[in-house]
Amino acid sequence: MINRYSGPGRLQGSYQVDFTWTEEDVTFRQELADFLEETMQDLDLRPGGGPGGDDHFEISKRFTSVMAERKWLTPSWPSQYGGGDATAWQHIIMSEELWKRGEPRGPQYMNVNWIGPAIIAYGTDEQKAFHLSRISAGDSLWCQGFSEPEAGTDLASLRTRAVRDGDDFIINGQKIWTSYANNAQHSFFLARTNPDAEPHKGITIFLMPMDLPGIEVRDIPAFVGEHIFHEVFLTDVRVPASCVLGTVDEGWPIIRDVLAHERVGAPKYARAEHVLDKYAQRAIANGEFDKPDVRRLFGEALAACEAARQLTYTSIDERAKQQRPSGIAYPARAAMVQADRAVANAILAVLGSDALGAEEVASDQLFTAFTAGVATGTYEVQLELISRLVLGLPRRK
Amino acid sequence: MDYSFSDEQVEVLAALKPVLAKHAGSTRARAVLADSGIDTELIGELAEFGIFEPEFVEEYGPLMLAAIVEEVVEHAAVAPIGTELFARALADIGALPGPLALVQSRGPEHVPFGAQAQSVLVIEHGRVWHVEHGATAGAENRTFPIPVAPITVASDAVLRELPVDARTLNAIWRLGLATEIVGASTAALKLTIGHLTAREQFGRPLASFQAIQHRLAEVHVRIEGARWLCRNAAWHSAAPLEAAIAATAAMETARVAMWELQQLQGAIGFTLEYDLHHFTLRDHVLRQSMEGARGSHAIAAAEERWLHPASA
Repeated sequence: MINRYSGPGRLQGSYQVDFTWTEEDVTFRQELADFLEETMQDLDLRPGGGPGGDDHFEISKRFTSVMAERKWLTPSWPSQYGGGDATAWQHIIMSEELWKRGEPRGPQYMNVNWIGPAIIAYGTDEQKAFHLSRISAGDSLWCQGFSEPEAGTDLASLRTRAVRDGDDFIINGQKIWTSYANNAQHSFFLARTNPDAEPHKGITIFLMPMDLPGIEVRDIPAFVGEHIFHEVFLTDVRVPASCVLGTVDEGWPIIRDVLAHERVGAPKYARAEHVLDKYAQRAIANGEFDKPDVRRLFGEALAACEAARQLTYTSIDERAKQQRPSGIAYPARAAMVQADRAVANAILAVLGSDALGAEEVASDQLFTAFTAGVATGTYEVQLELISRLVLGLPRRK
Repeated sequence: MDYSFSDEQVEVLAALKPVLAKHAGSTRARAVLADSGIDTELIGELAEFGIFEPEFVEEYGPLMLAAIVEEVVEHAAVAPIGTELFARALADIGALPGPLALVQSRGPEHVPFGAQAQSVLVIEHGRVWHVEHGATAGAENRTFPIPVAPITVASDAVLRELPVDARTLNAIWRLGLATEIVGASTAALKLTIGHLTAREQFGRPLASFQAIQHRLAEVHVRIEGARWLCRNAAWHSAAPLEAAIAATAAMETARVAMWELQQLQGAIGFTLEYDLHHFTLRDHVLRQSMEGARGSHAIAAAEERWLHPASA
């Protein structure tokens, strides 16, 4: 048996499972970490937080301009669009390092991860010229105009209408749960242009300026953080046809394609594990860590984070090899939700009533874990996609 | 980073399948359980295949051991393949006759294949000892798809210290158990999906009900997380932190898979003629072993991560 396979070593074009980082990747992470330690000292960001309210917004504006100067805002984009041709592995390294520091890019992580790539893939020359340089300069804030009161998980049932009028479209309707709408300059906006077609057909993407007349943004107070959610009302908003991304009526395939990148674009396990590290140090300092029950909870939460990391890496591997996205990203997303909950459970169990203090950042983890299973596609949607695309379970007849 | 097997690794795994199809499987498992309780013939075939040779690990890496354990347990092998394979490859224990059993104290401690073990190892004062004389197995329990027996090491037993430390051997051992859980849970999930896809109630396959689909999907997520953590730990030659993390994830996988899959298969799942119990009850045995259900692996993971400066 051994002799039969002791050939000349690795066959050309074959892969070999390898759980180590290349020297370049290690250097990349170290340089990035050093830079972040230095840059973020004066940013005063709560490590447990995520992209969110006004304070975060101001910090992220300062931070992204420094990142852009260093050419580190869009490293994984092609160099012709201001990127650095970084690998898929370097992209996830960057995301991990930033998420564990509270994602100081704020909403701009979306620009880098999928809005920019969508414009690169489907935009006109004018759209590329206008948007990409602004995004890579850290000078562009976006929100996503997806969810509506009657179209949440069932996004394709969205009703906001866009009607052609000469060189413009007139948009009427309402969006909801729109994060960053209060500060965004543009919206990656979905509207129905053909109401007679099937739900998935007849949807058009607009790269819509948010300062147009007829757009009204209202804050929705929520306990998970200030200025996290908004409603966006659109009344006879006149949007130039030059803002259409791709082809009119054919936005849905683009959405599916670009959101495949979004699935693992936010490595929440890195942030969760960082929070766990902080609390472990605290538990060691105050003696709580001497209790086996406490160690057990921390160990279990750690394993949940590391499982999410491994599953994410299987998906990154697929991207690094430029394979078509399979369903492999969905278990990663589900595991991230489990990890966020496991970390919240561990620290809340250890803190007991101390978790209720006004200055206690444990609440951040609680609220993060609540939102983890809802934001950018619910936990149940991930399970649905796993059932269908990975396990091949039958649909209802 | 690379998550694809090489062509050679794929070939080895493909070559293993017919061996397992011929010498393992649930029918064979039933026969072995009615007899000696350990499939020495299968172990012999696997030895013939070469997986216990040092050259095999040198050639394909310890990661391949994980993939092989997954495969062997998926075929319901009645043998302690996980611990045996990893211990032989990664621990300096010499040529002790197998199968090996490991106890954390003088016992009595229930361990898989306790009555069949040819060499008993005991951990005492943080060191690993081979019990040359004075280890006995108590009443064997064959309720489960792998036999279990309590091992007692007598106070006047003759012990010889082995050149491996407890931390290392425990890491290897828990990785062996964890990887078996991945194999067993995978087989159990496949069986369940097959059954629920074929069986119709209310005029439609049971697997088309969303309430069932989501639970199967959750089991899948647990298994795949544990699978890659085990492979990662194997790749790192059962490094203590990596092995403890993998085993912690495997404990949760076993817990979820055992309850959910046994539940979802209904009454047929309890019958001896049906294969499910070969896997769900193996999960149960593996989870109880080394006090995994009490959180021993999770505690080890926390200690390795936050208390051992070397891996902090």
